[in-house]
This record gives sequence, structure tokens and C-alpha cells, in this order.
Amino acid sequence: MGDHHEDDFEAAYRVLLSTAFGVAYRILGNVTEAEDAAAEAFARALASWRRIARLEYRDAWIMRVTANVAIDRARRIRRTAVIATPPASEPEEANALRVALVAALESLPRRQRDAIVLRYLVGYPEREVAACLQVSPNTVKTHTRRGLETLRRLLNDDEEVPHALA
Amino acid sequence: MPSPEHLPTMIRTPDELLGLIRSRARRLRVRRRLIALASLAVAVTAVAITIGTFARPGSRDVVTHPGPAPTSTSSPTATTNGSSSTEGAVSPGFQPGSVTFASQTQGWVLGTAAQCTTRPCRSALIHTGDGGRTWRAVATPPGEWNPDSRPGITRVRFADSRNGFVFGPGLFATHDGGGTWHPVTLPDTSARAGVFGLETSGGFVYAVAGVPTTSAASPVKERLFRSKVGTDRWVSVANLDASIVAPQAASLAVHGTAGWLALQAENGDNLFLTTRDGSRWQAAPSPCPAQSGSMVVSVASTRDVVTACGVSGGLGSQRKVVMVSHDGGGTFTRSSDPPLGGVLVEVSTPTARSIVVAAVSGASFLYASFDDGRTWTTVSSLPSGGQAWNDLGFTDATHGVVIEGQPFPENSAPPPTRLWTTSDGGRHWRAVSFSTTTLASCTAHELSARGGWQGAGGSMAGTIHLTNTGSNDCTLSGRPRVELDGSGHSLGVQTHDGTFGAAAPPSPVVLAAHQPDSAGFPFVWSNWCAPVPRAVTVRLAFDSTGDIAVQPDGNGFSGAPRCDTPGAISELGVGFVTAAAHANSGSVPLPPG
Repeated sequence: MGDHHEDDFEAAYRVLLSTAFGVAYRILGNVTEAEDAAAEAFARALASWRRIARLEYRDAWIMRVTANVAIDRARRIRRTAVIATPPASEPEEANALRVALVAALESLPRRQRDAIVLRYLVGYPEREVAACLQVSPNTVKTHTRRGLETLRRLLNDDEEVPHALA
Repeated sequence: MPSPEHLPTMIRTPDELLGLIRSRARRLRVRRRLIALASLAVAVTAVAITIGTFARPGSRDVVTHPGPAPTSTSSPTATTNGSSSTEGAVSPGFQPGSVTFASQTQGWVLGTAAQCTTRPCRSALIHTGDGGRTWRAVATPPGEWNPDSRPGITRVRFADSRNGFVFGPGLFATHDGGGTWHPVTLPDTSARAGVFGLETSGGFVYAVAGVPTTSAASPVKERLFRSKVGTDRWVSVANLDASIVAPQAASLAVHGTAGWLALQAENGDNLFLTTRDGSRWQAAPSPCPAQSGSMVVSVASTRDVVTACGVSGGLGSQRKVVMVSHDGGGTFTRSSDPPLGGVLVEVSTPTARSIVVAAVSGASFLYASFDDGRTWTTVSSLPSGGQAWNDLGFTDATHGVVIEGQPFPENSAPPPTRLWTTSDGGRHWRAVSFSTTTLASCTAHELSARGGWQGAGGSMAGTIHLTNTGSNDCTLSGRPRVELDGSGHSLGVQTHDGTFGAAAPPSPVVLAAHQPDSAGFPFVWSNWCAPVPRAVTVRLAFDSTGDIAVQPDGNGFSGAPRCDTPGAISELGVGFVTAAAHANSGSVPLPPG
């Protein structure tokens, strides 16, 4: 990869790192794991940077990958029971909610999960989520509405879901 | 989205993370190449067809269930060639990484000797001669498991039972079934050229190599080389343009002398090359829709070609387009789309009407169609955290293989990898166990033997046939120790293991209980310059459990070989134990030359 592409990637990386870390931390609740998940997403982007850099929704691509890596990592951590011990900085109740939320997110149909992650964890407006997923804004509305309904049902709590995603 | 002030402070600095990211990205580029090229197991199909002599209908060598099978750990009882310490038993921690079958019975799996957490990772090669029922380690491969740099190896292919290759990115060849290996340098390339794909069919082997250049903008150019099997005489048959720098996907399928090469350039273009004679490769229109990402190709015959294209997606899902041709790639028709789950990794087409697609995301999926792509079924969905699929391929219309995962250390221990097999065309898959739960070695009291010999060129050549008279199946491997007795005393004939060639010993042979003559081995006795004994007894032993005396008709063997060199020793050459097909052949297998 030429120097120009390296510079271009590094500039994007420095702008997006904190956002990607935030997305991963919201899912994982652990600083080290979140850093690692964000690093993995940026590494995947760098490995294909000639293509990724030209994407209209380049930043969204990185955030989607970050969220995906973090969710996947959370599942593995939960499987190995590491997550049973909440991070020291996180209240036990918050940890429990986060674990339940990630588990519920996993159970969503793929498109609903994509829409929920981008809309609420990353914070993109509906129009940008729609462009990113190559669907119409109305479809995004449908996916997020159904996804939230499912999350509420799975978490058995009307109040906590929006709070957890906010 | 939480605002930054609500986030804890990161432990590592952005610069520290950037170093980690660059390192991972380098590995990812190499791994993507390997994953994309892994679909080249397709060519196994072609090889199986070409080497049809291995698949003898009715022979016990033809295995109908190559899935998980008891694995023999019995050690060879006689000389084996090559390095030795790893020959014999399959390591209990063996991690499969690449698989190839040169016929329905002859297969090899390259992997790591144990689950590897830190480099260097010791590679290991195991072999089956009975379609996967039993496996045994063969000589230590020539490089460590390392996809990042030469002479690392991560892939294996065999053209036949003797000629094979380990590669990715290093390249080594064997011409004795894996007993010995030598490095291969492709013509007009430096030692840094990395081989990322290799397939064999029609008596030729093809290798896709990334050749370093001096251009900063195009650090690697892909080239395609070809060699006649067994010769190590490589020539370049396609020198791809610099626009194909560091392809993220390259897929090669060959059948006879015809071939198809699919590449995704870094600029996003898909390139498609075809050949009818193996030597002249020409660009053809890509069957994939515009804006496709990865493209992989598979072939069931010279007419039946399938390409799969990853079109768009995110967060673990991807639209996959499958294009089917029944005129050798002249025209393609779009099938219905496979399910969205997972990112396209591989495709294989065992028959003209069946297609299997491998995809990976948070889970690992296998999708199959058995009606020319009209409908699709999810035949496997493994919640493995998105382990890659490698070497998806079929040896015939029903028997297929695929490797789940890659035994490669990153920041933590990689999950265990598995070899999956199917015996119904891809409808059902079973994981193969290489565990040490095995059949026991046959003991002397379980065996009976019979045999005969005849004069051949002044020597006495014969075959000993073995029967398991015990109540349980058991295995034998290697060469037996053999002595010739006359009148109850050893004749002092010296055994010579090189007579029947120096190939690596075949896998342990399973002797089914009470199956007459289910195994056997050849022998040849030469240069006897003493008085001819009245009767000769062949005494053989496989382990410390005792000897077996073979005395046909109760009178022993009669006659003796000619005295060709007075004063020289008399030699007895002994071959490896092989399955019933040889033992029952009725002919006396003579040594080469």
C-alpha cells in the first residue's frame, strides 16, 4: 500500500477511533476488549483500504464492523464465563443489563440488528442508516421498530431498553 | 451513542493501537488470499477423475463413508524413510488446516501438530489410504505453519499418491508420497515469491504466485505457473497485469487441461481468465454482477462451471450471486440467491446440478442446492464465532471435505479446527475425529498367513497373504520383519527394505475380523549361493507378540534363487503391508526395475 493510502487511513483512524471505541465499549463494557475490537475493525479496513476508502459510507462501514466484532467478542467472552465478573468500573446492574442487551441483540434477525446498532449504538440518523444498509428510510423505521419490540420482549422491560441504547 | 466524556480512558495510546492495527492488517491480507484460494480443492474432483484407477468399484479400498473413523495409532514395525519422530501416530492435538484427496482413498491433511498459541507453529502432515477411516502421520513437513512468510506452509495438494506439494506462501514438492521434500523456486521470481494457490489436473500442476516488484504502488503482481506433474519444470503461463495488485480473492479451478481463474483486483474489478489447453489463458467477461466483491469459481466437468459472487452486505450478511454455466463458461445463468447469512468464502460443485457455498460471519454456514441453484438449503450452521472454511471440495459426486477454521495464532489461542466430511453430496456433514481412540494393532496370535512364490529373473518373488482370525478388527502398518528358515534354522538371508522403493509407508491397513486375505505384502529373494534347502519357511513378525511361520502345504517353499554374484550376500526385499486389493490380486508384485 502506498504512502498516500497510509496517510489517508491514518487520518480517518484518528478521527474515528474514539467513536469506534465508544461503540465497542458500550457492547463489551471492558476497556481492553473494546480497544481490541476497535483495533480489529480498523485492521480489517486497512487490509482493504483501497476499496473501503472509496465507499460513500466509509465511516459507517467501520462502525458496523466494530459493532459486529464487539458483539461477536462479547458472545465468546460470555461463553467462557469471563463476563460473569463485571468490570470494576461498571456497576453490577449495568453489567447485567449490558450482557442481556447483547444477548438480545444477537437473537434479532440480521437486518433488525444492523438497524438497531447503527441507529442507537453508533447514533446515525435514519437516513444515513438507510443509505448504509441500502434500504429505504421507511424500511429502517420498520426494522428498528420491530427490533425494539423484540428487545423489549426479550428483556421484559419497557423502560430499560431505550435507556440502555441511549 | 455515549458522549466521549462518559467513556473511560483508553489504556493504549492511538499510536500504540495503530501499530497493532498495521500488523493485523498485514496478516489479514495474506489470510484473505489463502482463504479465497482455498476453494481450489475443487480441483480434487478433477484429480479423482483423472486418477480413476484408485477408485476400484468393489475393491475394499473404495470407502463409502470417509467421515469420522477410528484412527490408528499403531506404529510402523519396520523401516520407514524420511524423518521419523513424527511418523506413525497422529498427535492427539493435531489441528487440521488444509485437506486434499487425490482419489477416493488417498488423502492428506496438513495442519499443526498441536493447538498453536505462539509462533513458531510446528506443522504436521497426516495421510489416509483408506478414505479417511484411519490416519497416520507421515514425515515432518519441510516448513513451519506460517501464512505470513516463506518458507511457511499452510496448504497441501497431491496430484497422485507420490507427487504432492505443500505451499502458502512457501512451495515444496515431494515425489515419494511425502517421505522427502524439496523447495521449489518458480522461474524468473525471487525467493520472496509467495505461492497462494495450487491445483493439479490432467497431469499438470498450476500455481498462483504473488511476485514482488520494485513498484511501491504495485508491490506484488500475480502470475500463474504450470509444471508437468513429477518434473519440477515450471513455466509461466499467465503474467497478470499490475492492476491486479495484491488481490483479495483469487480462485482457480482446473479440469483436464481446461481451467478457470477468478481474481478480484484491489481496485474492485473482477477478472476472469480461462484456458482450454492449460497453456494459453485468456481474459473473459466476468460472470459476476458489477460491484461484486469476492468471486470464487468451481467446476464439475469441462462443461459445468459455477461462480459465486459476494455482492453487498454488512454486519455478517451478504448477498451472494451464483452464476451457473453448462457450456464451459461460454454463457452463465444466474441461479436463485443463497441465503444472506455470512460472507462468501468458497463454492464447490460436485455435480452438474449441485452446488455448495461456504460463508462466514458470526457463525459459519454451508448452503447447498441440489437442483441447479433453484432452491437452497442451509446444511450446516456452526456457532463457531465465524471460523473460516477452507478447502471445500469433492472427490466425486457424493464425497466431500471442508476444513473449519485456521490453526494460526493471533493474539490468543485460536479455536480448534475441524475436518468435516460428507458422503451424500453435501446434505449432511460430520466432523472427523483424529483422536487416539483406535483399532488395536494385530497380534501374532490373531493372524494367519499363507503365500507362495515363483521364479522371476533369477529371483524368487512372492506374496504373503494375511487374515485376521481374531474376533475384533485390527490394523497393521509398515513392513514386517521377515526371516527365511531352512530345516528349522535361519538361512542368514539379509533383509533389504529398499527393494520395493522408498516411498513413505501407507496408512495402517485395517484387517476386518475373519476376512480372508484382507492384507498382504510382497517379498523377493535373490542371490542364493549355498546348497538349495529342501524346504524354506517364511517367518514374519509385526511386533513383540510373536512370529508367524508360513509353510504352504505344510512343506514350506521349494527352490531358491540363482547365484548371480558368488561371495555376495543373499538379500530378501520386503514390501509394505497393503490392503486386500494387492493381496488378492493373484499376481506377484515385482520390485521396480
